[in-house]
Amino acid sequence: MHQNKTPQEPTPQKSQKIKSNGFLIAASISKVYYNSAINLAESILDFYPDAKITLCTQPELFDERHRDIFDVVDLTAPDHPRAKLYALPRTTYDITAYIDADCEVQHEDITKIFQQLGDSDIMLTKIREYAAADVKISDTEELIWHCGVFLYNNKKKTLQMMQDWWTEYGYQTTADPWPWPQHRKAMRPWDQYTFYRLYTSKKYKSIKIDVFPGQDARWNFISIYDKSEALEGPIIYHYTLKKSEVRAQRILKK
Amino acid sequence: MAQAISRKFKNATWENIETKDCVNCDIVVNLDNGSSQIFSAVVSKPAEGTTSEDWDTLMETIGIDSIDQATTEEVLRMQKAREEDRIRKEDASKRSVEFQKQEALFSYKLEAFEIEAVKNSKDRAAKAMIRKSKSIPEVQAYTTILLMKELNNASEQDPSGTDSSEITENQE
Repeated sequence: MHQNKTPQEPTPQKSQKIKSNGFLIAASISKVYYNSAINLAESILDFYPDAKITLCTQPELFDERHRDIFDVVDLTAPDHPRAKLYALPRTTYDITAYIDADCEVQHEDITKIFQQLGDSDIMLTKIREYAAADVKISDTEELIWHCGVFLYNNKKKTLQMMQDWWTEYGYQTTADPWPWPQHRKAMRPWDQYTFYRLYTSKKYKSIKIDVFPGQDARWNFISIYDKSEALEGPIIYHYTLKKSEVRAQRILKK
Repeated sequence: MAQAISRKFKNATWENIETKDCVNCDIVVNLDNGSSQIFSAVVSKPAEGTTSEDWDTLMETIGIDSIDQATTEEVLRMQKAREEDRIRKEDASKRSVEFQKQEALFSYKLEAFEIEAVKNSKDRAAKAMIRKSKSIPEVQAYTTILLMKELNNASEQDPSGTDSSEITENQE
């Protein structure tokens, strides 16, 4: 039986050979995320047949018929809604394009994704306030980065930040009392808030974070966005899977 | 307790620009401790044969022409705000309709890919057509085409229509 992992356990797979650039998809806790992840991977290959894709999922979800789609299948994902954070530091690529499982590639410009990173360490898209649930960290601070699609390199510091993202998220969701009284406790469930804490920390001051050039929303077009945000068409379309369906197809029910 | 030492009228506009018998305004009251308070007020034109100190002050310090101009500007500002609000609501409504449509389409596509024959199919091109569909009828059409292709492939491989596993069993 697969054992759930605590946020402290995973470590990057240093022993694996580095193999250029690739996509990373994580699917955990529900068949709905898994099915969507398969659709995402196939949609990448529709436009980018040579793409290398890693799937990080749970063995209970994986269907062997899908193995051919992937460059790497990592079956060690924890039964955790943020298994993506577990997967991030384990990448085997030079440049990794992480994409949330509930996305779909819809444009041939996906082949240009790895060129976007340039000399940045991490590249993301920005949150649109009109489409966001909760962005206020405090009276003076707001969440800026949408973490549904992003690029990152494999520098030691970047991968350490990814590792800390997972570890710190675990702490953030359980710490009592709330360790950051200057910030709203409502931030507790948001991994974007963990990311905010990390990139504003002294430890990661040297990490270069940038927004995707041009119309950044093309790379992470949330289905509620205004079409004018992606005049040349969305490259990655981001859907929102219904929580009721996710629950209905939940594995390893608690 | 602080005492009022002076007061001043601000932001005066007509309640009704046609009748000009009532003014909406703010009264700034300056106190002897250096602070001030702002009150919203409505000053009415006094009836024939009576006087109103506030009305007289308003007319002397601000005057009919300035109140006319401020009223026009306020009406235009409110019209602009209403129009912007209408456009904002219309955009949000359009986005919401599109959101529902796209989410339903995505959910439908995922269901189509859950059909065993579709899942087992190696026909990437046909699967891509399903994925790239822009409407539910398009998903249905391409799914049907893929299923028919799979059926044809199966019958070509097994023209007798019997299942290959059955043949094996019979032969045994």
